[in-house]
Amino acid sequence: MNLEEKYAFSTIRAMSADIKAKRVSPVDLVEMFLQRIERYDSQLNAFITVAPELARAQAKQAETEIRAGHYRGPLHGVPWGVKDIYDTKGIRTTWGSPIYKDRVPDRDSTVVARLTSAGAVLMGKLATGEFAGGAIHLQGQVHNPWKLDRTSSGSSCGPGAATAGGLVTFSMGTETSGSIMGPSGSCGLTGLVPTYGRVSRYGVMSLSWSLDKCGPLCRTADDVALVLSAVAGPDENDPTCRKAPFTFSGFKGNVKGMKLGVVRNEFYPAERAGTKDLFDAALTKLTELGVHMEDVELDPQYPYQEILNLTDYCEASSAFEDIIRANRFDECAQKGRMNNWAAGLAVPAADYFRAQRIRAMVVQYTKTLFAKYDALVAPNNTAPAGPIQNDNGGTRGVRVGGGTPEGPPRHLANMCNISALSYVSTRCGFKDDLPIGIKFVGPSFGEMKVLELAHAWEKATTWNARNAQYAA
Amino acid sequence: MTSRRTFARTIAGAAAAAPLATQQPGKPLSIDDSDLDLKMIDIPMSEDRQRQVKASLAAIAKDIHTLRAFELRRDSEPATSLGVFDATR
Repeated sequence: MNLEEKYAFSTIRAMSADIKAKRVSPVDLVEMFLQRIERYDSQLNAFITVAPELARAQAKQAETEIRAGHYRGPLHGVPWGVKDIYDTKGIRTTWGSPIYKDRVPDRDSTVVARLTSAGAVLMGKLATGEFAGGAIHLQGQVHNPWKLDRTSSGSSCGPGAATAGGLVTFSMGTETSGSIMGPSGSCGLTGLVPTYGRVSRYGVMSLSWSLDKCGPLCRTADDVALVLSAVAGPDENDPTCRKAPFTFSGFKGNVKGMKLGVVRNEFYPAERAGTKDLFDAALTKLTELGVHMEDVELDPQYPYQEILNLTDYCEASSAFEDIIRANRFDECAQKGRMNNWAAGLAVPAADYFRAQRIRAMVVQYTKTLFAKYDALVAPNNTAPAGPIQNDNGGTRGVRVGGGTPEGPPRHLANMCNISALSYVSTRCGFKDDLPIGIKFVGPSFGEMKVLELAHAWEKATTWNARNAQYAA
Repeated sequence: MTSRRTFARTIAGAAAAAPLATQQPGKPLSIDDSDLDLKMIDIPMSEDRQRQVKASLAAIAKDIHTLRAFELRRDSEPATSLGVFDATR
């Protein structure tokens, strides 16, 4: 088995063991990944900027340190990529938009600084749907490595495609309303949205200050935990970041006795999508693992979607008012990207705050749920990634493509995003050779619970054994 | 500023136009795009752009309508204001 066959789709855990034992050099790994990027990214379009000089320098430093006995930990020498809304000192950070195509920050975001400190090797900047929305960026569309005519979802489309496509070993994305869960599901990755306040957002483009979260996309829950432990924790530059470091010393490996609420309504679209059998089997498997389950219905009285919409649009209107009022709509890669924000400028403050008042009630409601259940379980994506289509950036009221079949109200996804919960998606099967994902949702700062569940699930199944073979 | 206030009243008026008392949260509200007048907004836009922003505005008006229909009791709310997440800590 050559270097590429062994490591292109390796987990962090396996790769780092070999790096630590000096069975493989970070320098050789970087060269292998750079060759793969050169060979395959013309198909995926997952990178906005490749950073070969930085990657080679960091890999050389890692190799020198490890040879000298200065091993920093499990990310030392491991190649990764970051969504292009995280600032990187001296490397352009475009936010996916032609408007900012030449923007070069003079600082690293906290996440980038922490992963650099952990010894990880940054390969470059990964595609983001413009302004962290949609799937189109200044250099086009990102393709799904499982089938090139399919979307990688958005907006963390680059992290999804690059990681699933074996161009990096892990990546960091962001989620405001589905931007980690979408690509994780479409690309068959284990993606985590940590609790709002768990991971610093310093140096990360603000789309919606009360909804934005930073999280990893990896191959396993174990890898997610390794990355989270490196990036989580308080940051004096981000006052919303809580004093809640995530320390990970391994999983218990036993979920017996945990109590799961099965959000039954979320499963119904699987019947139409032809994936019901996968989810039935998943629930059976969880039962075999000793998890207690009972059906739960999310309280339908709460306007989850409307709270999310008002919050998202008003806060984005505030963040981007300058370019909206400068009438730069037509300069965007997604021509409709700013339409909702323009409309959001007109929302009365009283209505924005009404949304926040009801939102606080929803937060209280989630506490009652997690007083009863360790976690909730539901599909992440009942249908596989849809075909690549042009879209208009998601203008409200205008029907757009995007590949996700219309289903019932996405109460759970919306509740997760407005309530500062922790949630993870992992693979639970395939439909038409495209991955399908299952989701575990935990309380605020409940990452360890949901990762323990995802880890147990991954150990009990074989779905993660397959890799995307787009280049075949 | 006058233009912006007028625009705000436009959306507020659209959202409030329907009989809120008889609406159930989550039920769709029909708003005619032609009721939404963008001429007061300060941003010059093409006709096509106006059509798109109107569509956004109509959709947001429905959201506002639904939120207004949600019964809020001032004497029984959890922590709010800027501390929306205080309730989680």
